[in-house]
Amino acid sequence: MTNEPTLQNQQHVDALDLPAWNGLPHNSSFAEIPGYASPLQIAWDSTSLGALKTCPAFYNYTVVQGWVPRHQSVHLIFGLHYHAALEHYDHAKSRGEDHHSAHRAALRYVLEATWDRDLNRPWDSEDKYKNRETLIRTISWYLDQFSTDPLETVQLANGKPAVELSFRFETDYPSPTGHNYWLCGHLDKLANFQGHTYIVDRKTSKAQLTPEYFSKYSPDNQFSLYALASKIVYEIPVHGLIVDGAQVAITLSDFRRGFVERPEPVLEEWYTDLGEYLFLAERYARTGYYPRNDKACGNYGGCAFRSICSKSPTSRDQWIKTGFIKRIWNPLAVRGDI
Amino acid sequence: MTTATPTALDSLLSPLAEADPLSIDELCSRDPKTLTDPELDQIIAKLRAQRARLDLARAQGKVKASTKAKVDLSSAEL
Repeated sequence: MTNEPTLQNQQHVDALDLPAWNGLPHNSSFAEIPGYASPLQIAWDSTSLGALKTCPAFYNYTVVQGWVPRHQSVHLIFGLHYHAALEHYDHAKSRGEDHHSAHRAALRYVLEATWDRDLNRPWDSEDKYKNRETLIRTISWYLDQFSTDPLETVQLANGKPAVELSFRFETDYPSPTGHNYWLCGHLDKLANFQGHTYIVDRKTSKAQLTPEYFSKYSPDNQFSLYALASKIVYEIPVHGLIVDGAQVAITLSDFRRGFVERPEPVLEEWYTDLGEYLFLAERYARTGYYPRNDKACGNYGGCAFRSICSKSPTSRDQWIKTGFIKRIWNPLAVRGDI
Repeated sequence: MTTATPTALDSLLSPLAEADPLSIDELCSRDPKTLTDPELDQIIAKLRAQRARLDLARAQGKVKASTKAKVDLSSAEL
């Protein structure tokens, strides 16, 4: 790698005090730079970097300004609950509980997490594929299918399972603040398989888990970041990545896993590309102008801000307040421990 | 995949799954804080019965091709 990032000796990040930058609130991902029209992001994760790569205007709306649709995506909600339930299972097994006891703990967790206390009723996603019933079924079937899992969860030095691992590391790309840019993220799991360690990322999808499904993860922004993080942050040499896929259909759930490779030259190229995108982000923040990628408007079922970008620029501020709410996305936020 | 017969399905079904007449939906529609561990076990057993019925239907060729997914994740090869 031509620009070798600085090695940060962090195997597991619970909390990291980043240096206070001039004009930057402690542990914020953004810096206010004199002469810049917009805040400049200093700490990046795959979500914010992916947003920038998708469309600068989309990145500005959702990350810089922090606008999100009033109704959270059912895919996001479903995925978060799925991940959390399996994490509960992993922790229970790590504490010495047997499969059935851990299975029950995961089930109890997801039933309670998807209970609407305000309305005193179950969560209603209004989606025929991703709803509470299919969520519970998918979790339970997955846990039973992998009760004897060929993927063995890595145990960290502190005795905890290597699940939901937060990481941060400093790149060697300088920012206008005088400090370098940072990369952050969260790994679902580290697991050993046939003598090697892999990063395992769980995905849920309505789609069938065909070879074509797995092929879309190369190239992939998130997985390249994970592969880079595993090299730099963790002292455990990682052999590759595994997509732990779950197909969620109306009446069934199915599971399949696929390998994702990231050869060294591919990672080097991704890192070089990162520098180019950081340069673009600086220009956008300096001018306050974030261009639209109107070839991305129809991706993934349609951009949430399509209705905003289709309006006259002078009226967009009013329209966005009607259909969206504020949620600050902070890559530096460490996910809670169980 | 081993072909499952109706008789085999009966043996696959846990007695626990059939002991309580409440369906999964009825159990899951209650405030989860009121669910006991045995009731959670009921839910798990009924979900396993669902899976067993699906496997039987597949073995009998009754599952549509579009919903089939090649699954052999318990083996060493991924």
